[in-house]
Amino acid sequence: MSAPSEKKLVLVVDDAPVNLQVVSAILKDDFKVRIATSGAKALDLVKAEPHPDLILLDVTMPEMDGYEVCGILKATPEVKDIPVIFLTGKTETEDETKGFEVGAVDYIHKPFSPPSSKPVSIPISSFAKPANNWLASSWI
Amino acid sequence: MILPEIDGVDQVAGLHRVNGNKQLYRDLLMQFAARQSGVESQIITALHEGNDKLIEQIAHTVKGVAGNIGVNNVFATAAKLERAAREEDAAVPALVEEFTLVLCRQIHAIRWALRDVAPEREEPSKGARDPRAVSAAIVHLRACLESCDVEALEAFVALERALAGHCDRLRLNALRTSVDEFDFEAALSRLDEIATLYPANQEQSR
Repeated sequence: MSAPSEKKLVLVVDDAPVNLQVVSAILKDDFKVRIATSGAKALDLVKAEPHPDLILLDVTMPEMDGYEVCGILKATPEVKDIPVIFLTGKTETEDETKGFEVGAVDYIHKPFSPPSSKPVSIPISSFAKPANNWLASSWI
Repeated sequence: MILPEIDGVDQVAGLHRVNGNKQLYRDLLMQFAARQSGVESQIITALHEGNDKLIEQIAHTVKGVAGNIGVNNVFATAAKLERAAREEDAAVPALVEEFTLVLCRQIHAIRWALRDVAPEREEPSKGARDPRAVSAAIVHLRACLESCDVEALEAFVALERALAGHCDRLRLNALRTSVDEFDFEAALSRLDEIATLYPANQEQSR
């Protein structure tokens, strides 16, 4: 994890480069951002030091979907406590329930909500309000 | 940069998501047009194979990308198709037809509207090249690529400036494409090719 004085490190996982560019544009001023374009790559990156402080994980990806990636992360002792938030275009309740069952702490829905402001204290919740506002209350 | 209005594209919402960066937004629209042009054949193949799961996946991915950059007509049509495919609805073939039509029209509209909106990147004119700056820029970009750091996007621009127009444009464009697509492995091998032309020792003795 990053030192307290440093920018927090966020790992963003999505197979669509356009989505990654949009998320990066929003986050890069306030966070260190690493990118993985597949679940397998994310599993490699997350183990590298320093570990990310947060993982933003797409649900629908070819080969290994976000649920599977999250399940593996939560079964890996050295990274199991890193919070995972799903980035998803899925809106069905059963999809959200499945995400929480595999260990995610929250969801951010695509398309991301345009920010009305960008307060430094809660930078992620300024671009997309997580469903349970978990970030604002417990991470930042 | 002035972006012309494009039917079916909500530029206000799209630009808002990228902090008003018109250059980036233009690039994302062009990337959308380039990357989605192969979707039509993929989804028609999936339809012929009766593979509703794949149709749902393709529609879902297109929906996510289109929504994030304000391509609202495609977003709405993809959302309808995704839901129908998920429910194995009998309307799937008709919706695939509608989806491909809307997508093709949108790709054409984006390409047509942006045909004269050139990137505002400074193409460095051939000037004095500082060998130390080139070496440092190569080292920095390599470090960003190896750690899959999004800063690679800016590190590439720094390298381009340091090369001051001395590097083959085709090589640089290929590297830029790999970096823009976050294909870090391909970018590393392209950077290695460029680095062999400007080895550190040689650079510092020139």
